[in-house]
Amino acid sequence: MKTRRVVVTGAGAVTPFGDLAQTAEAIREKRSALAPVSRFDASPFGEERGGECRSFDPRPWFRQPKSLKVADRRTRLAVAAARMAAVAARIDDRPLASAGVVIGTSASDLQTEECALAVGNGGDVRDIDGFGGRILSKLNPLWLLVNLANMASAHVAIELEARGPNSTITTDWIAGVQAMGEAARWIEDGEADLVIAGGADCGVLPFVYAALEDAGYLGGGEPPFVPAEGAAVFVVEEREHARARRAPVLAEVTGYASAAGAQALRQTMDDALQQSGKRDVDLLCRAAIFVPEHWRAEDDAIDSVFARPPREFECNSMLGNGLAAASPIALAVALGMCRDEERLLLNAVGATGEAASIALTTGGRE
Amino acid sequence: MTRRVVVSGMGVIAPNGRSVGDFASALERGVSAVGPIRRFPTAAYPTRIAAEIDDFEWPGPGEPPRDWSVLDRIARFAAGAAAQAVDDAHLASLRGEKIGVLIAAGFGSYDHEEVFRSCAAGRRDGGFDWKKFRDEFRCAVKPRALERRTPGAVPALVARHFGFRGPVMAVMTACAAGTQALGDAARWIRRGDADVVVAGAADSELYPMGLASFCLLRALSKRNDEPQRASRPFSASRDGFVLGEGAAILILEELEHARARGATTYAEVLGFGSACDSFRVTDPHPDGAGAMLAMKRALDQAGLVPAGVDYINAHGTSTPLNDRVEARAIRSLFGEHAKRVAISSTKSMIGHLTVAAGAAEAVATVCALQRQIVHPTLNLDDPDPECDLDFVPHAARPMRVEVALSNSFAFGGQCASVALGRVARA
Amino acid sequence: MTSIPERDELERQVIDIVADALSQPRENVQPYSSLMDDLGAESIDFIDIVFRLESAFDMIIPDEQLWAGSLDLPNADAAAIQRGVVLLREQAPLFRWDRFPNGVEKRDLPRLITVTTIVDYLSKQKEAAH
Repeated sequence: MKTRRVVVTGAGAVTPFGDLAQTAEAIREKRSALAPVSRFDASPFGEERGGECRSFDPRPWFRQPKSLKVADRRTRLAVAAARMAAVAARIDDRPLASAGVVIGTSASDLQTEECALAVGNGGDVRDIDGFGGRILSKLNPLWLLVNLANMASAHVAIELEARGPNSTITTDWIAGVQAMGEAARWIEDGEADLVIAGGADCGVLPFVYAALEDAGYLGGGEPPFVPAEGAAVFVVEEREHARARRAPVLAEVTGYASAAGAQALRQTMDDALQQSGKRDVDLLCRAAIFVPEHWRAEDDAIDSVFARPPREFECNSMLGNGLAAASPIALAVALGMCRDEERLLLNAVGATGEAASIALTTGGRE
Repeated sequence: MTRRVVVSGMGVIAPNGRSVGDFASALERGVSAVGPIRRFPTAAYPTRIAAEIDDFEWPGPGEPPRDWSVLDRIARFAAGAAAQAVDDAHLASLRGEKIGVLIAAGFGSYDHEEVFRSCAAGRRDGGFDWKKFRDEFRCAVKPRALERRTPGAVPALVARHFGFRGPVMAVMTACAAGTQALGDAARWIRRGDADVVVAGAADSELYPMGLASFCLLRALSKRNDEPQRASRPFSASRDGFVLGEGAAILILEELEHARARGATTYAEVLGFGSACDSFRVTDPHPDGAGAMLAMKRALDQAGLVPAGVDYINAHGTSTPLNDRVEARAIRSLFGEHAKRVAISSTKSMIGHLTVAAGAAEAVATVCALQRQIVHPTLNLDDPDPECDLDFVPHAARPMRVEVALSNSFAFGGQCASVALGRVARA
Repeated sequence: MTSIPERDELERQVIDIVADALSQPRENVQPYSSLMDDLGAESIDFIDIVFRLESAFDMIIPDEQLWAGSLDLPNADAAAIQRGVVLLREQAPLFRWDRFPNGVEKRDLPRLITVTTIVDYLSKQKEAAH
């Protein structure tokens, strides 16, 4: 019997449709956010579209505007979604002191065009003396800080003045779900009473498209795999702590598991459900990777875990695949669609065979 | 009934040794592994020294992982260190159990030619030719680019190679990640998510762009003419850190599980603390708020007070800011006891292994607990009066070590600290 | 070949660069505002500002010469620092010297950097080039 229970008291999201409310509405209306990528020409990669957060303006969300110059896209999305979640949970108006922060992310922006500018015309890139000389004199010296994956968590902590435990998870596309699961573990373990946790990622990057094309993921599926960007961040809290401050309770986290290798997803679904105490769910949020082998693998896992397949939800077909942010975004939307006391299972799958699942029960709204 | 966590195996691929024995012995002898960089021309760089590992081939046992020939250095180091540790802990006898893998892997898993040939090809005045970029990438790309592009691939690779079916995770709290991985793995075991976790970290920033990115931040020592004296943590003339590379893996295991199968128990993981300065992007909090919180949380979780700590393996990077702030944080937290605790910096000998640092330094700390000898801080000829603590200068010190802390702090302000203890003879 | 303008224009451009790099409104960037204590600069901001100055004025600024951020003057002894500080106090009475009741130590140097110290440094470079 768990002595400390974990609830979700706030959710914030930035997606190609806008904030969480705008996203939920667009998905109810079954609209598509997929459009030709605006920030670079993606057509040579076999998929000209992407899920871009075109209307996103990070500036209102940064109390420290100076941070923007070292904040890459996923950091900006993470900070905005985190502050939106904090507002929803009614904790945005104070330093969060001992609150923890954990963000899951996967793709790094190597700032292709800046590198190209610095590398310059002519010369073989294998001429390291020339390469080094040009990079050292022409590249923005803060380049590394923009790319470091841990900066999303760091900037969220700086913006929310949170000094609790802080981590960044980069396990490919399961990282966002893992961040939520690990946050629940921190709370159960007594390391924090409140943790800001979620996923933020930007798949609308040239090297992401290049690698996906190389893997055969682009330009063929029905529906197609279309990379996207976005973030969904949650306030995850110890249940009594939430009750004491009369926080809104969206759901309780009842199970979490991760694994790699053959049968990984089946294993994580089984384990999460077992921890939750019941084998059936009312809604399954699929990982929904639109690549035939991944889709079939998830179908197989669902068939082997459930006697009767549950109702399913996915929004990657409308938003694109937000990589480590995809499953957290699906959860944020699904929570808004459910009634109280509904059981959810959320899946995430990585390109290199990792899987993670989280079980939740909605409700307890006060 | 609280579950306790022990270290039942270790593996190290480090600039000063490719086995735990060689690593520990080189540290005790006070040998610096820093020298001029050999792997690529560095004439254009202001910093031309590092602690390098020469070409690294699969050491066994058994066959190398699938795709060994196209794995980058970071993945190779991780797999090699994991193989040592798995062998050391005799995990082959645990086939079928849920063994977890939790490895922090560095960012630089991309190939210089893949990236920069593409960038160069796409460049044109007034815009960017994405077709040329893509076509050049297709020419330059090596197999399995999608897997190599994400640091998360490393734990999955290790899990797949050894057939482990437990939880799997990659953490990336930059220079705190190596310690973070151990703390998270210990938590998994305490909670019963796994009985055994292959935990640690791997990194290399020693490639043209990696070295450049740290030079641009002015983070590195420029003492090129005296490589072995360049990494000088806590000395007055320190001028930045020296990059190292490598990997370290520790097998963490539930205590009773280890005892039941007769596994060696090298040390116990007593507690872990994580915190964020939440102050600036890279400058540490002037009073070391994050550092103090991390150390305190590790001690609290271990049920210890500062006076119970015999040794601190410091983050000790040899930068003006870190060393001053870390010393200050130790003084604030330890009070009277600060002057009595022995403190040393592994980075003084093997440089800064960045993401892998915390894991390699944890191995050094476990060795100190096992061997009852603390390795020195090298190059402490001119101690900084602002630091003014016992940094075990010059020579290793045989001493009683029952409890130790190992610290790791990162750009962004993330701080991690792990408390390790000697396992009492049952 | 540097292209450093005359003092008035130089000061205008330096204020622009500092304001932009530190995300400060222009009116906050006064000639004697300490970049660290008044305008929120940290070490990486000095590196950023040096890069912008080098790009704007087509020059190289060696690390040690701007007292940039945490790049302590490698060989400056206490006496040299005190001599420099005495000179600076005479030149810059409007600076917040009250923040240093116990005097200025080596690690305080970055806090002394202001728009005026930057402009003075660049003007000297301009003279030296001619």
